[in-house]
Amino acid sequence: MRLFFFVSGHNQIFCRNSVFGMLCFSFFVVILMKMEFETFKITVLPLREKLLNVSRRITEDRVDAEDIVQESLLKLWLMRSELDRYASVEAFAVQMVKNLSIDHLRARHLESFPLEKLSLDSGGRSPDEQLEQEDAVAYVRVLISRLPSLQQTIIRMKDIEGYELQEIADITDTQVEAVRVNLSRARKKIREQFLQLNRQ
Amino acid sequence: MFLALCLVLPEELYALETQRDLKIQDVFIRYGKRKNVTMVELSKEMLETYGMTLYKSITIKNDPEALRFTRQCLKSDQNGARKIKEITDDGGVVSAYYQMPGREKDINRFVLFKVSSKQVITLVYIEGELDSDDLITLLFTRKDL
Amino acid sequence: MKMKTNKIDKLIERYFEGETTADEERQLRAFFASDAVPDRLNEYRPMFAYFDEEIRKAHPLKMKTNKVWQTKRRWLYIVSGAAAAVLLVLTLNRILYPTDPCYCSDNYVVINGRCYTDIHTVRAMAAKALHEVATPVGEYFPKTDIIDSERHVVDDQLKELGSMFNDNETNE
Repeated sequence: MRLFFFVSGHNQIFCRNSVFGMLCFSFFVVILMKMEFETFKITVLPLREKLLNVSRRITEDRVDAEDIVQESLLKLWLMRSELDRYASVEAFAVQMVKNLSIDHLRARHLESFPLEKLSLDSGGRSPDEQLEQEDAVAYVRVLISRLPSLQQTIIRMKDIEGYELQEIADITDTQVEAVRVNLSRARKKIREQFLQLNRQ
Repeated sequence: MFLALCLVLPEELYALETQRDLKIQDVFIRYGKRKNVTMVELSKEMLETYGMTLYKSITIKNDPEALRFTRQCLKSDQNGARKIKEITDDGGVVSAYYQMPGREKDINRFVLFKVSSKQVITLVYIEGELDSDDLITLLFTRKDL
Repeated sequence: MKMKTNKIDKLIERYFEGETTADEERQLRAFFASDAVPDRLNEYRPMFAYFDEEIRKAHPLKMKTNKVWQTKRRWLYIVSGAAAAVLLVLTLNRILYPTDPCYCSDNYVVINGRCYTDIHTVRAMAAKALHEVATPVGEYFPKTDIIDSERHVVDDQLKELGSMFNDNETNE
């Protein structure tokens, strides 16, 4: 239903003029998406186990490996229409997981950096001043980029791409509750860090 | 997508057209695809010269449930039949011939049914302009066809 | 966009618990983009503004509001609507009135669920069934008053019916 909401959200005039047409359009979209997901389920989801093994070998951590695999599945889903460009989707997915795993290892080293050390393009503005909207938005972007990789992707899927929890759970082949918890943690973290800086 | 729609549409309209209100059609629908079942349908072109517009037959082997179902349908379709010839034994009807009026004028509908001693059910459904006397003569006055 | 204070607070709470639907999140973003935001909630503005910006970047297509695009869209909706309505009718029809299993040909035979269209097979099976259902006289029905001379007429008629199903087309 995500495309439907995008359409209706930004063209309210349209809603009134052709509600039936839009309902039918979204009906089509839902069917198409269901078909796409069925294809995805058959071609990509079976790789899950293998991808887990690849990630575990590199990160040496089961929990991290799970997160990395979920993230890769979401990324693969987002680029599903380009997947047939690759001779082997499996090889591509494995490579993606390897890259994400290595990035993850690197990120672990950077975690020790305190937030204040990050340079914001505030042009010499002091932290206890209320940030202007544009700078504030830029700051939110920075905060999100510091989140664990999977949480970043989940935020992108939910808040920007407009997927529902169940859809994300389907794509990653996980439980809805697990996705919700991850999403909640991510959002709370953004709030916590943002308000922290704002109130200084 | 629209091309697919165009391909599907005539089929569906045909289905609507041939949708009859005879219960016996359910026997074809329900059992047509099953194991130990043979179902035949012949088209207009093939039957035109003989005054028939539709011929359907189904042969079901060793299925007491199908026999019960078919007998039920026959009973239900009997109402409104112009001519009925039946032979029954303890179990139920073993041979039947019904004629009913068709949807259009001058089109008749015939149902022929038989259960052999080996419990093989044969059901034939014919639509056409042909006269009942023609049909019954053809079918019941000769042993070999 | 006006929204009751407790309603928005509830939404915000659910948002941070990850419980909101995509539609509710859209409402939140619209709210925080409007002028109706009370001071105590101002601090959430940048976060939702960030999402608005990213959405705009990710889906620039939706923001086009020029007349040409609107007209195209309208037609797309009408056509989709019509096509979807047709599909719906067809699907319902197929569900409510299941059709015969084989649409591949006008003449066909289904044996054990498999469809065959070879005309010889089809004819043979039709003949077999017709033969089976035609019961012999004398056993069940009283003899009809057919005198010998008329038998020829009957014979000919039967031959004709039989030939319909024969492989060898040796008709007159």
